[in-house]
Amino acid sequence: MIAYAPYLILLLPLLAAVSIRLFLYPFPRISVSVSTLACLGSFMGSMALLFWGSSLGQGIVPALPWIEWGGFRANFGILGDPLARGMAALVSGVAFLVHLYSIGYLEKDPCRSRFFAELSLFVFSMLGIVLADNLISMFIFWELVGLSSYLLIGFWVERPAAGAAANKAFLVNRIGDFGFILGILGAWALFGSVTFADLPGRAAASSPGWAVTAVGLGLFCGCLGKSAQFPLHVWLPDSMEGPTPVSSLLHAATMVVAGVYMLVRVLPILEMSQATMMTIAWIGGWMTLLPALLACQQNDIKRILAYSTLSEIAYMVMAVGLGVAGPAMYHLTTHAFFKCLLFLAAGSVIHGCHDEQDIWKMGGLGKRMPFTAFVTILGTLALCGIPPLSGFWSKDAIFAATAHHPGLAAVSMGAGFFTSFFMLRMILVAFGGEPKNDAARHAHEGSIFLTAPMALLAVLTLVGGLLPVESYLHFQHPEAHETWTLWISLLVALAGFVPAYFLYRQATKDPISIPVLREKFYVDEIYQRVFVSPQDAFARLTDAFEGWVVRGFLVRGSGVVARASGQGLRLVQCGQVQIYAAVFILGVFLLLGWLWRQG
Amino acid sequence: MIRWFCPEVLLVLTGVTLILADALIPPGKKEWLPRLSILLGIALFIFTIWQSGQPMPEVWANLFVTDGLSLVFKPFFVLCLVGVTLISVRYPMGREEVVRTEFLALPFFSTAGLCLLASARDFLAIFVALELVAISLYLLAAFHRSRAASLEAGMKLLVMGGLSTGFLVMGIAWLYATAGSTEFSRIILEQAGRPASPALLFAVGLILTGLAFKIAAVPFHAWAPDVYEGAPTPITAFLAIASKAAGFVLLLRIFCLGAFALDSVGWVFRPILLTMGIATVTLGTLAALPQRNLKRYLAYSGIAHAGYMLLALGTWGESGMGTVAGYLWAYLLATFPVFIFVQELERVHGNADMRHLDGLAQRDPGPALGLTLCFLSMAGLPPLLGFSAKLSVFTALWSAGEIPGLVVGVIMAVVGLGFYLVPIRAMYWEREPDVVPAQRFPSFLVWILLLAGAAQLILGFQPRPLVRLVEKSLAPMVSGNLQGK
Repeated sequence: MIAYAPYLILLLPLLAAVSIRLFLYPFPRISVSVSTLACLGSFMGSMALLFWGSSLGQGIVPALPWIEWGGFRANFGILGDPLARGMAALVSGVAFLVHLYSIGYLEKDPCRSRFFAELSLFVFSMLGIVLADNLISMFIFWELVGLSSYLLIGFWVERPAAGAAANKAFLVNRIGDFGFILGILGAWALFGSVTFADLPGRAAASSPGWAVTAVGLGLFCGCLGKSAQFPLHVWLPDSMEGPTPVSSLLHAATMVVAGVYMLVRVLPILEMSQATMMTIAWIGGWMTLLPALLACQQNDIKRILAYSTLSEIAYMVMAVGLGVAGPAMYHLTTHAFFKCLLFLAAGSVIHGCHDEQDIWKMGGLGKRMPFTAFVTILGTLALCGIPPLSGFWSKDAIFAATAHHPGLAAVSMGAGFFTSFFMLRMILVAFGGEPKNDAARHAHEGSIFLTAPMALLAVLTLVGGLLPVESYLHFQHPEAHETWTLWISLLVALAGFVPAYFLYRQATKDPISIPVLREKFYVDEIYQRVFVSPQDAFARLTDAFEGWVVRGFLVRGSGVVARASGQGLRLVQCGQVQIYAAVFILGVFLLLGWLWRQG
Repeated sequence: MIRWFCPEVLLVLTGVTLILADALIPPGKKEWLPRLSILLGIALFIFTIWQSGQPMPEVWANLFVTDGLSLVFKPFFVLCLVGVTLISVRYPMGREEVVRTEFLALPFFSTAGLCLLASARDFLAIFVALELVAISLYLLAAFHRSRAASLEAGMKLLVMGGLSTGFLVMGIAWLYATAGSTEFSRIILEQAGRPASPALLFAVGLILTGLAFKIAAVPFHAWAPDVYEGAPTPITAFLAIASKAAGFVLLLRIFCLGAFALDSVGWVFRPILLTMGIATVTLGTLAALPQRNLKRYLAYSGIAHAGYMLLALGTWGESGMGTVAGYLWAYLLATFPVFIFVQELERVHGNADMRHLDGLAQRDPGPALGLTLCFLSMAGLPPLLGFSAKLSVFTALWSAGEIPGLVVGVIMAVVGLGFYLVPIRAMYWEREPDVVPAQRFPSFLVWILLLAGAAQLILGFQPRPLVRLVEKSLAPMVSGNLQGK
């Protein structure tokens, strides 16, 4: 029985979500504690699994038989390999810190029961993705994560923008998920299994060809949606309409990197096809640079960070495309720490300035919120890859992998330049100079619930590079890699600080204006023209069809049968038992007539 | 001697005891009788689970058999009885309040008949048991005398039931004339290896008519909507679930296990069952679309479900048979909670009109959620229980190569989604009426509906218990066997 204990890691947040929704809804204080404690329980369970799971070996948790249908088999099981255990500990740990932060951030919100129920649902689904032992159950949790993301982005139901952003996130993800499920079906058709334990062997045994490429690209579609890579990246900046803890947990630290995690899981399939790998690497490579450019012209503190997230995930995607899963997961881990920290700090700023998000209306916060300013600078240095902070080690490992791909090295290092530029721009404008308005003038640090998680994450950001991440990922730091990547990437990153310092040191409004960047390369407009408007027209058409033909003609006319067969059925269903008996006898004659013809 | 303590005997004894107690105890001191009947029902259910595998009295050995099918379906029928008793206690009787105990006692007799049906191995036993079921139901349907609709329902059920029984008896008589026996094993021995004679086919056709009436298959369905709407709701539930299931258990028993499990008969009747199934699914689904009364709506939904089961039965294989058994359990679990809800709706509003569902999710989120899950399960949406049931029907049709049945079944499943969404749409998207009755749904109902919804989900994700049950129903005889002693 004890062998089933790891299922508790999954079940605790689910129980919390269900019990809050059903019973504890009217008691926000209890709901908050139940949700937070459930997350803590999951975290402790994950840590126990992380430390003691290895002594039990592979397949430590007995799987529950689930679907057996013809030749198809899928269990409901928990994966016990080091990758899953490490990721579960990371997800539940960061989630716990964000739970704590949310207690302070939403302390006055009357709907916080709902928030915490949805947060628990998210933790459940995200851990489900991490621990799933086959593609089918991963897909189910994948969709549940999409649902919880939708709910949480739209948490402030009274804001139309939040609802629109939630819809956009959900719909864009559907496109990616459609490719994903095609990829899953293809994998099943090609390899005869959807279980992660079987896939490497089956994939190695099959012959490469266009089918394998198609399957790999289908699976990559799932990553495009969930991890917001081109061309499905448009939802992530908009998702910043959600509460900041949500942006921090879902849209920076954990959910959006699920795509990368999934790619690492199916790497044996992807590696079968060079075309797939190169597609992934190049999409990742360009996506490091483009969002970094866009971020240079954004004014919303959260959107700046969102574009930086797009860019950082692209580093991981590129690393997977280059076949180095270790550095990708390493960067995923450190990124979770420092990006979560940056978002929590941004939340602290927004909280302190009474819901102001425009950096040009802040200013002078360094003096009034010294702690927040300090952790922001710490997070920025980690993000830009400055030694000895955690981001340096993981980014270095990725740059080392690009050593033999000069094109990818160029774009990804160039992205480092702009990353340094826009991060210093954000810090100088928001924290330096003079306060631009009253809200900024009276800004103050938040309660202990806000600062404590930030402090813990700051420590992790500082020493994250030293964590024995390699041991659970089975990857070695490249000892003798070519050092030119290290020096050049570092120099480029440092160079990015220089123009930002001179341009924004004393600026009260943006000295440069590049409309094409401000308008995000017009991608949203293009999508609006090409996809959304025709679809809206189609929706109006089907609505008209439903209104006029289905409801007007078929349903309101008391049923298609009654209309079609004239008054036939109406005569029959008239309530007179004589008629019923007549129909009955007619039926008997029909049956006997059939028998007559047969016999 | 100990073998006389079988569920059937105890059910009859319980019914008699309740009626005697009602007659002997002075009025005013009988408030505990309804509660007692519930307790007795539950006790009998537990007893049946434990006992249904035991052999029946030896004297009956020529008439009844204990096998997988009876093992699985006796608890089914007694579970229906428990449900019916539970809601009968709360049925508003008006002037008939004085005879409530009889209203509670009669289903016990009917259930005894159903349990006998599950074991019958002789057409005489089938006839007697069927009449035991039917006569109690005629009474029960008309029980609410002060309501004209109830009387009308009872009358219609009586006339149509009498008609179908006539055909059934005629069929049995022809059978006896052809095969010289009414016992399954003798008929098989007699007919095996020869082509079916026209007289035998005629007899089987007439018997099928009688059973098609029970399951409300097209064209013998016309009574169902009117009777379902007029009868007291607990009795509607009993008719829609237990009585319909009895028809299918008999079809399984006669066409798949005993008497007519002959290739010579199957060759003729397979297309008939499939055609009937196609017609039933189509009519049930399309006619349900415009319904505005929940009880009529459930009647058509039940007709559609019967059609799916007929299609599975028409595949004539072991998988088709197991599918029917599993489908019946899924149908019970999804439909009964809805009937419980309908009765509470009637208590509050006086009728089961669908407009009372408008905006229900606003004031009663719990029942709304449970009902939604039940309706979606009936529609066959994954990952709910009904999906596994429908999927197994389609798989059986596919592997039997019955493409027309499969195509119609799938199309009607999609159309069916449309009408199962109607009440859900009303609950979640319609505006609440301005005047909301002060009377609330009792908390036990909230719990039952939520539990039922959870059961749809859990069994949908993990249909293993149900699969095991189905495997059990296919198991060969536990004691005695059809080939005669």
